[in-house]
Amino acid sequence: MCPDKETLSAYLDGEIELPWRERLGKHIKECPACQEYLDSLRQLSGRLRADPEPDAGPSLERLKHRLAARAAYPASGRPPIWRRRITLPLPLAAGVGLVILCLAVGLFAAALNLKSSVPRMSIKKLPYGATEVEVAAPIEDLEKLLKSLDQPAFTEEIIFTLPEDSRFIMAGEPRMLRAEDIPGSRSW
Amino acid sequence: MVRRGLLLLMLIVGVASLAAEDLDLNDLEGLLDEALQLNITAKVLPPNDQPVYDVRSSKLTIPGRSIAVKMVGENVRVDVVLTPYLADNNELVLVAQGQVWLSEVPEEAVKYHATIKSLPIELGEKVLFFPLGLDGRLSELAETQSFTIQLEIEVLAYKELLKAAVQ
Amino acid sequence: MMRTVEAADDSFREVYETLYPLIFRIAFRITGSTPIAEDLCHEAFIKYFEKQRALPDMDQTKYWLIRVVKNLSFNLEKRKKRERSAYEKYSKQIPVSIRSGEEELLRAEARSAVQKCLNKLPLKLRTVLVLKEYSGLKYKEIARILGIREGNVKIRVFRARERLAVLLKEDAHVSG
Repeated sequence: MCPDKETLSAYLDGEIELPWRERLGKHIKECPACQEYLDSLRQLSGRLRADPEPDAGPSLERLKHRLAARAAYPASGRPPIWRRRITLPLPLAAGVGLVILCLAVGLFAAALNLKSSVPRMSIKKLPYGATEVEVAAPIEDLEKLLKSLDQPAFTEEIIFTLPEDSRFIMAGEPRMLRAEDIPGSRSW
Repeated sequence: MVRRGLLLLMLIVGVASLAAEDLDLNDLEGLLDEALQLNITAKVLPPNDQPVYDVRSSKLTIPGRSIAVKMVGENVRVDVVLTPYLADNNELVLVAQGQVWLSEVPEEAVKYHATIKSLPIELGEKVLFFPLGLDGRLSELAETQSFTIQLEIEVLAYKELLKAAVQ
Repeated sequence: MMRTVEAADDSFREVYETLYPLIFRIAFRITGSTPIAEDLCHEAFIKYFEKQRALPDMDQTKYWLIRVVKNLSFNLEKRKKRERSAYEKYSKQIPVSIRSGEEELLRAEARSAVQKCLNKLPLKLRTVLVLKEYSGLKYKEIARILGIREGNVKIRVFRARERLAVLLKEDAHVSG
């Protein structure tokens, strides 16, 4: 006699059409099992809707800014001043280089007072862990940018030159340990 | 929060109109979340005395990406590759691969030593790596006036440093 | 000429002022991430803006935007799956987890039990349930938006609810 659960689910959503809706309603009034199931569905629904969600306000504001920015440019949506685009393929493992790159790009803009021709970047994640960074900026700035990529901050290598008058020997097996585990009073 | 930090930095350097649709902040933020700063201090330790050499360098990296430290001396060349890894359980592991080319006695053949060490670590915890070893032969150290090399390594979350800088 | 532009601007403003919160809520519930939801929403609204030809009424616009956001989230999911398998094929042998930037972001965002469990639902079930519970749409409207039959919507909503109930119970168990 009981309807299947799927029907009760549709009943909760008000999706059961008229003559059946009344009959179903009558049955549910007299059936504790159906009532219980319907209640559990109501609870679930209530819980879902009561769940806190982020405020859309700030997000909408950001959309408005983007739309305003687009309105400032011609129909193509891009500023018409770029003379050259370069693509720098950087393996994803050099990821943090991107962060530095962005900051470097920003610094160039500030240093060269490029308010109207802000360098723009796009980052595309390619498959197989590669990341493509496209930087659009006037040529002279790009050259400066590329030069700066040779700077120590971008590389993964540190070179220390040891003092001249020091001679070394292997003093046993190489060791790696936590500083706090070093016994004795030697404070190095 | 970090996003605001990054945007703030960019605003400070005058990139206010960097078109958001080109710069995928999600990618950047994801990278920022992973980014680690390795602070590496190299010291040369004479036996029983204060360090005679103390040099520091910092590098940014992400888990799985190595930082190479090369040290060149009169009778020695030491290459250390440091790699922080994020293990499955979110634990940080530091792996140090050391290679040493050493000529203990002048004009004698160069000896080669290689090692690989790993250690689970916490962020901010100081780790010491001795590519030439630490104890044993200490008496010999004193006699020959030889020194040993200590690398002190500290791994920090770059995101935290960024936050602190912006505040 | 000016007049028409202004009128178009006004009607578009009405569109985003009216519909943005709803589309954002839907995007958030489907993707489980605030920044990703924002990106999808922005893309959808900008696409609508660029269409230049307004749809007949607010309801049609609403369906259109929801459909775009749903397609974008499906594409995102497919892309993530492809990237993950490509990564796994080509990565080195060292047995550590490789995480994409987006995954890290997802992990970082604090999540309620409800959203955590929603994220665990298969995308097709999740989408239908989200549209039912969070947008007040009828089965017929959901069917039209998703391009499936009404009977299908009914089944998916039901299955989604059953699965979610189980997931929530398991989650309560784990967190004690």
